[in-house]
Amino acid sequence: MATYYVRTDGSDTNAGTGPATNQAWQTITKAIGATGIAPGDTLYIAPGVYRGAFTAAFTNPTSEGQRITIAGNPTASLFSGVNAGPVVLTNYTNTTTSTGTTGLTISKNFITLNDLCFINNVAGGASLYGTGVYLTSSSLIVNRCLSQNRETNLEAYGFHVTVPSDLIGPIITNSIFIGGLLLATQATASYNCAGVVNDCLFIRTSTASATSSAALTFINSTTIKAGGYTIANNTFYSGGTCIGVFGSFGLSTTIPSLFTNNYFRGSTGISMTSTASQNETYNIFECVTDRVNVNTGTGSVSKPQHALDMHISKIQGWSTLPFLAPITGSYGIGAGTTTSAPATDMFGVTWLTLPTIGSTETSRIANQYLPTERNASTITIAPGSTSQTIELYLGATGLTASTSGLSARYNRTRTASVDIPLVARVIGSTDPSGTGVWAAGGFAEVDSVNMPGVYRLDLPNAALIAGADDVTIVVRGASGTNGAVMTIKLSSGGLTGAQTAAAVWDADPTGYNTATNFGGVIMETNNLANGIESLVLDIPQTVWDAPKSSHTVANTFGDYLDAKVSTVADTARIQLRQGPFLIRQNASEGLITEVNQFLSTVPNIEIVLIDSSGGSVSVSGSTLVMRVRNQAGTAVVNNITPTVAYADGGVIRWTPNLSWTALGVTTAGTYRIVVERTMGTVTTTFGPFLVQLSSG
Amino acid sequence: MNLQNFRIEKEPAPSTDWKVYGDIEDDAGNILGTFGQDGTSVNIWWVQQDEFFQSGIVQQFAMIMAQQIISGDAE
Repeated sequence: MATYYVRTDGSDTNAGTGPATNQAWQTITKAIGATGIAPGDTLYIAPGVYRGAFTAAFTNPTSEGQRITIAGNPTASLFSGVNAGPVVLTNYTNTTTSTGTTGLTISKNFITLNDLCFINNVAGGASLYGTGVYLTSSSLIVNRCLSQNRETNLEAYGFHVTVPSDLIGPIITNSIFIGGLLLATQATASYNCAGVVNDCLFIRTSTASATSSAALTFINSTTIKAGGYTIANNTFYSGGTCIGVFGSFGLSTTIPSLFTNNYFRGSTGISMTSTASQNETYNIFECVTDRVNVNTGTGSVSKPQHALDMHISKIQGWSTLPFLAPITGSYGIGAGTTTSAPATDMFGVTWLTLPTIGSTETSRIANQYLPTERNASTITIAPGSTSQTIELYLGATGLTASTSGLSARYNRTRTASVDIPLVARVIGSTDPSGTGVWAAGGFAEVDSVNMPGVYRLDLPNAALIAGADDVTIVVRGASGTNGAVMTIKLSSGGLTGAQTAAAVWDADPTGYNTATNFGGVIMETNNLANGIESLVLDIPQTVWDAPKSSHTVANTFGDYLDAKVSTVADTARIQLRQGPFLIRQNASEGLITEVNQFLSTVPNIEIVLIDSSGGSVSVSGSTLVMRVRNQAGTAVVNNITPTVAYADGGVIRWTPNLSWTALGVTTAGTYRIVVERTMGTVTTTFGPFLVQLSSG
Repeated sequence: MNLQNFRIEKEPAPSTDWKVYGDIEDDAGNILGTFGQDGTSVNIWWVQQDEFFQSGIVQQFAMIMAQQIISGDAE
């Protein structure tokens, strides 16, 4: 169950188990050889051209659990340093010369081939079959492959599948065969091989008759036949026969096969050996001879008005239909049957209603979707926004979430598009049941009278999550509108005022500890009352005007400021700056000053020390202490160290940032404060001055 | 146009001709024509066609002849 890789710049001496240049193998010969992949393994092949005639030599898988997958990776999603492109296996030795022998030969069971292009040049001829790819395999799966081979008028098949004796037929889907597909069995008795060919395109220019080769040819090794094939939703272009049998070796007449929902354009549509070997239903025939030994089936039509788009819609500029989609007005649009039909067309598009005949679904609207015609606009929404709604102009009134064909999709940068299932909503309603409020995919016309054609669409939250540069919204598909395209730029520039405020005030203050930035200032991490008033001028108004009651989550800035700043204003705790008070040395004049404050007051006092002559006293190089005593001056209530504001002028400040009560002075009354200046061994006392403290 | 009961048979030697059998019908199963109960011989029918038709078929046939000559299956 290992995964192996091949890239053109790899090496066969590598282990092959990784996609890098120094990990991957280089050649197909190595990868599918005896020393390459084994039962249960998966092989991924990088984009590039791989030349040669390759033959599988690995061990033959014996069960579904041992299935080997050989897959191209044309998007190069698995290979770094490789551009996207086709994964080509070819027998051309250069662009003009081929080996002329089979390009790929696999005689193993339980094989899956995905996303490969087989370009070969092998001539046909009697008993040669001209096979570009030759697979002898039971339970083969082929998906999203191209087979192109040289054509001759005799037995030239690009892709040859032989089912070993009485085993399971191939399942071939979403592939293109230019040069023919041959389905052979080695049946020993009539049996149901259950082979399937769905959603494929066949192009064969050879005019060969059914008895030699057709675009899709059945053959049995004997007259004993296999049956039970389902051939559905294919498109055939053939200069000769579209579906035929080789010689007289037709399909089982007891286990009929089914050909349904196919489009046949050729000389002959279906040419078989017995009317009992198949049922054909819901096919379109544009042929000289529609059927040979085939009964006319239910739902089939000969030569209706039906044309496939091969980019004429782009050339003429009226639409961008997929290749081979029926052009508007064609008979086969939605004219098929669901019985035995695939769920999607060859591009993986789900049938809009009943399957369309042929390989490709088409748009069902009269006026096709032209995304550049009108109403392409761009808006900005913050990434991660939820419950967002946009308005779009669709140009038609009366559309609802259930309008046939109407669809909405979004595409985030470099990702696949995502369907937005539409649901009904009510414009302007506040109905709590949900029909009026936001709901992902909610859709309604805003005002059919006053704003006709404008619709409201509720965006899924997943469309706006962070991680993409932009999101493109498309609403389209309903009759009468060309749809609308809106690109949403995912950018924080689109924050609303509330989102900006929330981003600021609900932020965690942890880590904001630098005094020179906003966070640090607000947190006052330098223990200074920096104040914020002069620093906020360039902060958006939406931040400062935000109601503080909206930002009270614990441990956020909003909570912090609400508690610290607002609380000051809400209580009796006030902060005053008083002074400067002049206090004299030794206070020979007695008590010179009285300060009246509350116990809850933060002192915040500025003092100038002066000598007996009134001159200032330098405190430079001195040690200062303020002693708070009772009025009698007998007991020290608290000792305080002031800060020096101007040393030579003797200016000191006492800004403890704490109230008297918090400083230990809890009783109202009169207190005496002296300042002691110690310089060397000499201590000089200034003051005292009185502080009258009142309750409150 | 559909063909029912269609088959071709090689005529016995020494003839080198082929015979074609079958009914020519429309989608409703109405027989529009037939190759006859004893079939229609290709060579006999061929010489009865006008030159314009014959030249068109011969040009197509010439391509097959050329391929067979090149591949060595015919001279």
